[in-house]
Amino acid sequence: MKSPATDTGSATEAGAPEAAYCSTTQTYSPSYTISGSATYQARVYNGTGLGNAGSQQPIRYAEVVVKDSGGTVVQCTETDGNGDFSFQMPQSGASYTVSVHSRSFNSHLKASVMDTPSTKNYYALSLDFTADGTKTLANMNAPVTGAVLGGAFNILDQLLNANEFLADTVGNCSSTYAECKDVTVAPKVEAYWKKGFNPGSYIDVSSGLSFYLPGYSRLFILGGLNGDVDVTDTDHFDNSVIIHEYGHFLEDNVFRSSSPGGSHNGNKIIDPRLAWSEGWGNFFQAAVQNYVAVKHSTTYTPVYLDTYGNISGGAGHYGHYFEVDLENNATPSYDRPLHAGEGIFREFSVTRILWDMIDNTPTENSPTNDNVSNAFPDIWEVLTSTTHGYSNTSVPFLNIGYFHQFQIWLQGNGSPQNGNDLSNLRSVEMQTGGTAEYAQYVTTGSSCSDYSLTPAVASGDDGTFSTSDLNRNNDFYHLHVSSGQTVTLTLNYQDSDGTGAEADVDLYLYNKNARFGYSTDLVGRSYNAPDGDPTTAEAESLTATLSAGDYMINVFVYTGENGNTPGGPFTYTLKLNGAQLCPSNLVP
Amino acid sequence: MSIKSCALIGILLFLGAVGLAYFLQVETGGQVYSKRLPASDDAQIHLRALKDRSLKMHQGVDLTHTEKLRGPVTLEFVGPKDSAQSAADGFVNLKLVIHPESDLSNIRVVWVVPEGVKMTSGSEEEFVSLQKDEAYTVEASFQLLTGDNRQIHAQVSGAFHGAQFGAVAQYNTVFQTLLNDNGAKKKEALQKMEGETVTNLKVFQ
Repeated sequence: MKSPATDTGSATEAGAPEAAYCSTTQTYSPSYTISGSATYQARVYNGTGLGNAGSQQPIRYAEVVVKDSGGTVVQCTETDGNGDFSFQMPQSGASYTVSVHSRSFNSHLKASVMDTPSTKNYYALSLDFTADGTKTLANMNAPVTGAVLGGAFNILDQLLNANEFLADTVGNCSSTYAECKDVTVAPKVEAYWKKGFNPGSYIDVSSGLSFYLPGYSRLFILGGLNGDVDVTDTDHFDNSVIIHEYGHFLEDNVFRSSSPGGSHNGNKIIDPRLAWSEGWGNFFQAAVQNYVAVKHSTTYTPVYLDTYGNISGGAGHYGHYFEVDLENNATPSYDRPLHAGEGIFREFSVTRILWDMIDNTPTENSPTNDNVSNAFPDIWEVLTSTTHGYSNTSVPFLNIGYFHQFQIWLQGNGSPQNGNDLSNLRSVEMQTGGTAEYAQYVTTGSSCSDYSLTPAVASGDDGTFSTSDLNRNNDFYHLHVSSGQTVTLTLNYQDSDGTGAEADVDLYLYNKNARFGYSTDLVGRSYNAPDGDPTTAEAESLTATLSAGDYMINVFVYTGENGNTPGGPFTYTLKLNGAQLCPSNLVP
Repeated sequence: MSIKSCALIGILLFLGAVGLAYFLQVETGGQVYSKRLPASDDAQIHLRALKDRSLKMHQGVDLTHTEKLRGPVTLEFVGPKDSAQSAADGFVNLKLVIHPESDLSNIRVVWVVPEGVKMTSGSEEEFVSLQKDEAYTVEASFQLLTGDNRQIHAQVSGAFHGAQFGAVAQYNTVFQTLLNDNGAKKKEALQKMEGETVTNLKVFQ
């Protein structure tokens, strides 16, 4: 009895080299012309979950290889935009096999869908034929059952859709914004998928998981669990998931990301860098699927849609793994910001504002608020500009606050045209137009007013880092150290009205990873108890030896063991070696 | 005591530890947070593992990854210590433990029973209400009509704040212990590699 298939390799291993892409077309004389076509099918969402197979879709711009009976490659070509192919064969009367592979390396797409990093086997649709005359072969189709080859080719086609979206919308964006990076085809990506296989096992996650591995240009798409593809969670037909992961690939390879990773369920205040990264992925999948729908004259409803099971698993045994509306932030709404500045800490707030920048249906709240459309070039300019954008390598801690800061700059300085005004959208999503809420760059050498903070009793706060309200009970500042040195960082704070309970405020200094609450990222901390007298000033001070680089200062309100004693409003100053730290512009 | 006896006892202890770890559903690779102590407490920083799993050590590297977008529940099975023995005996009792992150009502719980397995107690479908952070257990018993491996699934689904969510857990009637052991061995192998590289890896999900 065989146990369920597993892969003992790892996600990071180099593994076997991928077979060379076959791109050289042979000419034969005299010759016969052999024509054919290749299609795939995907399961179609039926309102409940994944239903039956949809209509046959062309396998576009994929590698086509012909081998003789001895396995020698005798011809190479690619399918066209309709999934058709045609090639010459010698008038040999011999038998051959033509195969369409789950990979592309051309001006439309550079991607390979393979089984595992260790083996790098791509998938193939194959058909035997005899070169005994000019002929058209029967269509080759990748189905949703059996080996589920439709899954492999659906993944490939979604990656192509993403590239076509980029080519059509920002293939020439430098003509709109001078620093916008034209992208007609993205760099090569490896997508790993295997029927019934959970790539989460590579990273010790037993439940089904799709993910992107930065630094390796590798997507891992969930193919099922221990051989099952019909009842458990799979992602090969969940286009939201596939394109979301590809969005992370673009962050990693075309512009930049500061995401630290971390837990997120889409309805929580989280690290703004993570909120941006995941919010971008959620948005990008919607942008691409909307592009495809418009191209096919169909209607797209902006959602993030992930399913589990499918109709073959039986009625009532399939459904939504996760589905959320990306348009509406009215009550009740997933991940709705409730307090000023909170939107930058929520991934679906990030998603919604990006979606509102490109949609043509200004239905959210009112047309007055959702007054921007077709602004993907604005987004791409901000992401790819090397000066006022995410691709400026001197800017750490990337979050949507920086996005707004750069977009506001674009609004006044875009060339040859200015960017759009997002102020109404920012207001709807309670996002600030800069880094005031997170990663505010601070320097010495100037004077400034005291900072202020009004602590809050936050839902779910039990006094631990994991439940602390990052928006209302914390402030974050970006400190850059130009050379190695020992520094003393001081926090002085004073209750604002001199009455009532005094806040207990602590000072933390993190390294560039800056994962909130992680001891491994902590450089120094000071957490004295206040004296309880709101009329007297309090102080925290830490000394640390720092190497040149970027650091995160965290002013943390300790809310007690039960999270319900935040204390009253207070003002404070930060000093570095005795000199006041004041807000400054990292990028003028 | 002979060397052979010592080795046998060692193996039994190891297997016992693996089995106990599975039975107790020991959380693996928990995120490590430093809990801020009362300001007056000058003790060394205390560490504790929380349920969210974002900091893990894998393959000798600090592999930080985000969890796949999911709804406000996580699932786990508590099954027999030895699934193969249970299959040989012809029955299995399963406990599905649901961990809700929010108060949830009208949550559908479905057991998907494959051919070759007969449910002998429990409900194939029921609707439950869940309290935030309070684990909820659903129990069911099954008669195994074949010695071949069968996969029993539990599906949990519902709606929350306008979003729809679901989660699926899988139990293999013959191979579950093997799968758990393989996972434990792989984890052990990965941990042995710790320190062999200093690369920081992230995965985005």
